[in-house]
Amino acid sequence: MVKPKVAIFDLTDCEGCEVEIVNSRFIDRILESFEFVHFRLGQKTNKWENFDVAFIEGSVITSHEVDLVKKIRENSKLVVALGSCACFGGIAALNNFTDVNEGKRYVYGKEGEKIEVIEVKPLGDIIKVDVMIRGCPIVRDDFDRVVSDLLAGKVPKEHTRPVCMDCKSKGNPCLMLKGTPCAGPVTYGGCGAPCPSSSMPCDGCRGPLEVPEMSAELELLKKMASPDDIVRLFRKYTSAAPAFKSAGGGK
Amino acid sequence: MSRVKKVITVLAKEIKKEDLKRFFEEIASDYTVIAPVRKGEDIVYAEVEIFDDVVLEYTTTITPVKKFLLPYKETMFSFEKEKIREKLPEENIALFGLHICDINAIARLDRVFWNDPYYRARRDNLLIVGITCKPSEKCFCKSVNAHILAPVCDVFLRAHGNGYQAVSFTETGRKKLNSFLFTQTQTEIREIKAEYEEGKHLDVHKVSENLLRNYENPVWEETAKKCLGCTNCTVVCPLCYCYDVVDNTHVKPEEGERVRCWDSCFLLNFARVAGGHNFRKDLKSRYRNVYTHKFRTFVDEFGVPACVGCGRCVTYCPAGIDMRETLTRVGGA
Repeated sequence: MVKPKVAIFDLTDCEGCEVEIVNSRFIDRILESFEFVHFRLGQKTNKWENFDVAFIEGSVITSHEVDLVKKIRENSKLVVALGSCACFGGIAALNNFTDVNEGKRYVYGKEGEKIEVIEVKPLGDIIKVDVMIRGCPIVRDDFDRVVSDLLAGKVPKEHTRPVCMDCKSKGNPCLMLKGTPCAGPVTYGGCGAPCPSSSMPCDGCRGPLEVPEMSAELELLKKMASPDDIVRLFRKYTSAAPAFKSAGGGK
Repeated sequence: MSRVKKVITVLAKEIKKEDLKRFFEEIASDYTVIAPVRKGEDIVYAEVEIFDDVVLEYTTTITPVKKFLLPYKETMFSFEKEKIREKLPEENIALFGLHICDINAIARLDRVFWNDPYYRARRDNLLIVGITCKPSEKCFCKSVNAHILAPVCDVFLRAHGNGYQAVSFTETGRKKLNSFLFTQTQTEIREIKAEYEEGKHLDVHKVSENLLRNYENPVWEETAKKCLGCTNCTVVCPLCYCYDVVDNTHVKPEEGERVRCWDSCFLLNFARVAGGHNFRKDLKSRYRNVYTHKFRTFVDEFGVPACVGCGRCVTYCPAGIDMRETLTRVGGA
């Protein structure tokens, strides 16, 4: 059997999702089953050819990266957005809410003026994305599920549920009932709710549900948080996701 | 299935409070014991090894015991090419310190899952030890006819003076009561029931009638606006048992497993069918469905509501939605 050709690209990011791929329970099988033609972090020799699947990690924050993802799209049968940055803009999308020029001057001095930064958008706003693997970082089991489904000839599908379902099934007390603002009810689950299981509220890294009940969530949050706190809750990782954008104070 | 309601009179035995520890230890020598324990400010059911960790007096736990009979995620079988390996659960579990509502929930789950091999394998090895409850304002087991203990309970410990009256309705339970820790009394017990005043009494027969008669009751739309669709109520419900079944391959397409995991009718995709049509696209219809199932279609099918009035849905709804208020507005009071 001819092995499917795979590419893993990273844009502006921390490479944490790629580390999760390496952490896969089935990494040996994955290496056996695919031909990795482009994987900058994992190998020395990389080629540009037609990819069966291209995984794109990271945020698109320069016009060079816009051109790059368009080129990847042209060369790929399937494009998978890897992690919150690619899916929803990630941490870098916080740029959209700040004076970028001031930031550039502060960090790089006069040189900073030469650095180009564009509005950070989800990858899906720039090119067609076939599959999203959510989270900051991704959950390695999600990666295994997607590659397993692709190899089995299935369209990867998730059991769509809010973080609350993962959280409560672990028997956790509800943070919201104890007055802590939490994005769990409107956030795409499947992570196993590691944050609320450690008494940390969910900050929405997996992005909004297909149809999040935002108005009920915001009504409830108002009772326990200031408007600024609510904005911050939805801004961290996924502020460029349409449903979280306005809750995060964006237009 | 023999579920005919029989009037059984049993003679109570007695056990001293200080002997309960030894009874627990007798059970723990044969079973993995699950009992109510403290978790921060809350009580949860968890595996217990030391009797002193068991909380004997409590109101309710965050999640019910259904997860020990129907796990959140369970492998039904695994496959490798044409070879299928099915592994039925083998664990012996004792549920120690359950209240009447939670025991009756098991009796109602039995009606649904009796012929399910995975459920049955766990159920056949299950030991149920009940204990007197401490009802709260949120309890409404009387309204849903779940306040009288169903005869699925192996041993029930009824608080009595400085100890417990112990009764059994099963053969396994009677054997447990043969222990020297129990003394025979001449007290006849016909039924064990929860005795308390409900915070809010509901007429579920009226609810059952009105659900279909007034299908477009404004309560659905109004409550759905407040509802987060977060599934907390269905996860904490001892009688929400819906599940999804998925085949997961492990990178190699010829190797994998069939898994069933909890589902919830509050989820958008729950009623989406092949071809993409969704029967309950909006939260209003999903919210209504919970009630029509629990208080109408389940009753039509199994003769009782899919609710034991434990009050968990009321206690653990982040949005503060009180199921009893909805039921009242549907016509229950």
